[in-house]
Amino acid sequence: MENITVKIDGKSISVPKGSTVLDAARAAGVYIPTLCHMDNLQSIGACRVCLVEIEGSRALQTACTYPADDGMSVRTTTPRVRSARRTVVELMLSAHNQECTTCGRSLNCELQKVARQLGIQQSRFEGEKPGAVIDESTASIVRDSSKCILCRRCVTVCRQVQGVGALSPAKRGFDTVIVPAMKKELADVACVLCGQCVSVCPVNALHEKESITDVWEAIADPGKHVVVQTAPAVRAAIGEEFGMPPGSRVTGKMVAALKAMGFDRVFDTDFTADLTIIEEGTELISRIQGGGTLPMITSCSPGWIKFIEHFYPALLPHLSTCKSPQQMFGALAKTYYAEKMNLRPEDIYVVSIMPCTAKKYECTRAEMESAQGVPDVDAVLTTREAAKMIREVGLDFANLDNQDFDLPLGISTGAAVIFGATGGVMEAALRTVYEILTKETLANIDFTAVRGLEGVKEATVQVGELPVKVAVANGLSNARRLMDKVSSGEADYHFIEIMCCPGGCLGGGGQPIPTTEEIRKARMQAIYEEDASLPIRKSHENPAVKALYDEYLGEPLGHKSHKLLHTSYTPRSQYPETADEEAVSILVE
Amino acid sequence: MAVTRREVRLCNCRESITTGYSGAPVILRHAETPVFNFDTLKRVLESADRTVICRAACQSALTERGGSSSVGEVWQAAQAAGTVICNAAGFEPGCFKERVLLETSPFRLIEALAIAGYAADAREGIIFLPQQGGMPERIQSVIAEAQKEGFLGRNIQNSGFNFNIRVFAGTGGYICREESALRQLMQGSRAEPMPENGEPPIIHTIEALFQAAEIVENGASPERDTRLFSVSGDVLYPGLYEAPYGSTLRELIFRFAGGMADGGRLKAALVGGPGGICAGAPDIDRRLESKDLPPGSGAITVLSQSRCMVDTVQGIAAFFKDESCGLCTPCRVGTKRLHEVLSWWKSGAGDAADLKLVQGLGEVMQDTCGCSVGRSAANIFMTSLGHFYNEYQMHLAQKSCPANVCRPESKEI
Ligand code: SF4
Ligand code: SF4
Ligand code: SF4
Ligand code: SF4
Repeated sequence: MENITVKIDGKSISVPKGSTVLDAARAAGVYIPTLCHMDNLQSIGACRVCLVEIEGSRALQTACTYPADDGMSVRTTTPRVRSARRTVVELMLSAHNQECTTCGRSLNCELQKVARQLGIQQSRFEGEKPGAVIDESTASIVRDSSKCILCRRCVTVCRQVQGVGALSPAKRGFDTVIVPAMKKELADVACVLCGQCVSVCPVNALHEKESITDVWEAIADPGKHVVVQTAPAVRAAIGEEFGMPPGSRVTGKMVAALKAMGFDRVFDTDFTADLTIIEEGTELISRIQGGGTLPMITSCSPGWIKFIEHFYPALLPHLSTCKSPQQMFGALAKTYYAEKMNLRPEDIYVVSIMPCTAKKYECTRAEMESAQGVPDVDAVLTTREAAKMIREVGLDFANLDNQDFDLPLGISTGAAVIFGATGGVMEAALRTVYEILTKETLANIDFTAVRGLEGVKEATVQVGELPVKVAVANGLSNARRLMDKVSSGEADYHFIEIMCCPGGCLGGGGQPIPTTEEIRKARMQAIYEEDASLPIRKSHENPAVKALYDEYLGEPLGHKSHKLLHTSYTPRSQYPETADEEAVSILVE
Repeated sequence: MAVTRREVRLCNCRESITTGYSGAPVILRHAETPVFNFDTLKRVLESADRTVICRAACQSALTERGGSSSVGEVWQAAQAAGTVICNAAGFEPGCFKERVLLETSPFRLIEALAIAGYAADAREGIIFLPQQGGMPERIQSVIAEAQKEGFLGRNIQNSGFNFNIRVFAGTGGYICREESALRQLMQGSRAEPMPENGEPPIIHTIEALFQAAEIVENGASPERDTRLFSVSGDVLYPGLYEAPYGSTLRELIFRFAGGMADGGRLKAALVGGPGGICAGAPDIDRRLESKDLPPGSGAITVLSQSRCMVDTVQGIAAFFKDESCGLCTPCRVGTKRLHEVLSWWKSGAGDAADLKLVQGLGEVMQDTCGCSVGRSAANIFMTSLGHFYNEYQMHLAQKSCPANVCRPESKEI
């Protein structure tokens, strides 16, 4: 590709043609603050913090949108630039609900960081602030307009990455607000609660609905037996919350921290991930052999489930009926484990630590109640919330000694660990389905064709006589591409894995902020390293799962399994059913 | 075919095109109005090829907003443009040339747009009308008539040229003067200026289209280099005037618009609309041209001594606060703060030190906003400081309004 040479603060740098001034500055190692920019996704010059002086241009320009040109000379630190950036941020602060000491994003807030970096002591501007609209309508996500800086990142991610389009700007000028399309509240629209908007929000205008207080209360309640399960992707990321580099594997420290916090048992969602593979693999085999609906599609990602219910209800028969590993765990905890421990289901309190905001909603679904009158999972914490609780008890996380999960729901395999990465469920299923069907041992269990961050991956795997065609998508706009193919009958796959979030659960909406492409890669590497390091790497070889079938469940897809481990789905509308007049009037304005 | 239609052409007259900008009926003061029968379009289709027309229009003095290319150059650069857009939504307080031309000369507009379409090798013309005063039904019926008579549609006048025009009546507001905002709106998105990939669309103002058509018809000549000026405010005959480019403010106010109304004395003139320049009485002999007093949209709002500057500027600030699209920070918050602070000053709050802070805010808005709307929102305030600094000072330090418009003593905040 053709290169051009640009001068940034006197330093010449060669960058590919088509780069922006921001790209060039980064290549030159010059830091330019940004608030609305997202690499490869959004460059709209909305926040106007990345101002620079371009020789020959009368006004200042935004580096994120301005095309770099051969021979161009750019200044990024002149008094004019610094003063303009400062004024812009002061204006932003004058319309912002500044309460950093009690704010959930304090110390990890991009606005705070930029304000400090620009040396702002206080905003010189006074005046009306936008009214605070707090939307707590869903089980997962809270919107707080008083913190919103209108950077539009959430809008773009929801539209372009997730293909949902639940959020849009409404009204104009100072009254501009980001609102769920057509409606006032998130619960009224086809939002899938994935939390990708939370993940990119630079401030605390979007955050998860916290369950921290509930969990502390349960732990403090002597009448409650509190068990915690941790999802595969959490261990590959939670270290970041404590200053460790992305990709740090901290499973043992995480278990140690949770034990120190007072949970009665620390278990592993990986156990039920293995169980999912047995149930789902068996279901796939029976669909292939019995002429059931194909392609079969995975069902462990609750954001994805809500998405298909809203946008492709006709394809619901394609979904595996398996509950997600989190819900299988909850169901077993309140039945199998309760019986084993001689506890009443209502005395067991199940906490999940998940990389996901949609899991908070999943556990409230009416179907997720296996023992009479009690939910299978009582509270879901995101990775971020878990880290907050660990900080609250003052643990020096990075220096904790490793500890092991408790038995029996803490035993798992490498196949379960890779559930955390896109393609992982597929790979885990292939390892098991292959061996069950062919009754041979796999020579190479690494199905690398389904690994990696690409949006859609396809592979054909020879299983005995049968070439099994599979496809994997991560991020819902990629899922859409596959679903459109399935709808039109073009897709001749046997099995499709869909993960709602880019990169799979490792990039979930509940993971540490920020989550960038680089960080996704690092977390992914940690996950595959963890898999490779484990003695058992196939779900059907998990001894605890085998014991569970022997002692309790009987056989895969058996009567008990059906009752506890499988579920059903609800077609939903893609459009709001009833128009809310006040919200409609926002649109009309 | 004897079609009798009264249409205005530019460069035909040196007098007012109309008086009474605020309402119909329109009285045309210049001598005769030609009979309209798409002569120019016919001639273009019969004899000229695309290149010839483009070259002719290159001499049009009007350049498109924000650009440096003449209308003809824009056409020349177009490679099978597909669409040419006439943006008739430039309405702003004090500017009514769009409305007058739409009202008086819809056929000429159709003709001018068809010529542009032919020159730019386009298939479709779109007339973007503002929500208020755009008269979509009237324009629609004129389009239908032109279609019936074979001046729009397939194979126009057996020339092989296919061209149709449709009306797009938008709700986008003032921001639609920004081309990329208009494009967003036409694509069904919110009207806001988003960076765009690909070829920019061909968008002309109505005045530029008229002028280009005129030059294609008659050729360019220095005395045909005119502009439309909307003169309003405290003058005897507010109206739309066509005057030579480079006329002085004095000529516009005193020769064309009949001088000050009600025996008032000139205090200031806002040249170029709410985002223009505040000229004081000493500027009266300056020329309305880009190297002296840039006329911008051609709106000239004349203020007599009975007006208060702080009050006037506060009104303009209110306009921008309401019209900011809300995309970028310095405009979204800056226009709000500017309006708030001027309102405080009017009511007697604030002190002299504020002035410096707000001046700094104005500078940053001019320097950093994302589009011409925000960049010009503080212009009148900033330029008014030159002639009327003392008037601000009196509001702030002495809590008095020399024009007796504000009530700075009723300090309340
Ligand atoms: S969002 Fe950031 S700047 Fe705003 S209160 Fe929270 S920490 Fe402070
Ligand atoms: S949670 Fe997901 S679907 Fe809902 S608004 Fe955020 S990004 Fe969109
Ligand atoms: S909610 Fe967050 S991401 Fe969305 S516009 Fe506001 S500040 Fe930006
Ligand atoms: S300057 Fe104002 S009108 Fe223009 S893009 Fe920014 S907010 Fe919108």
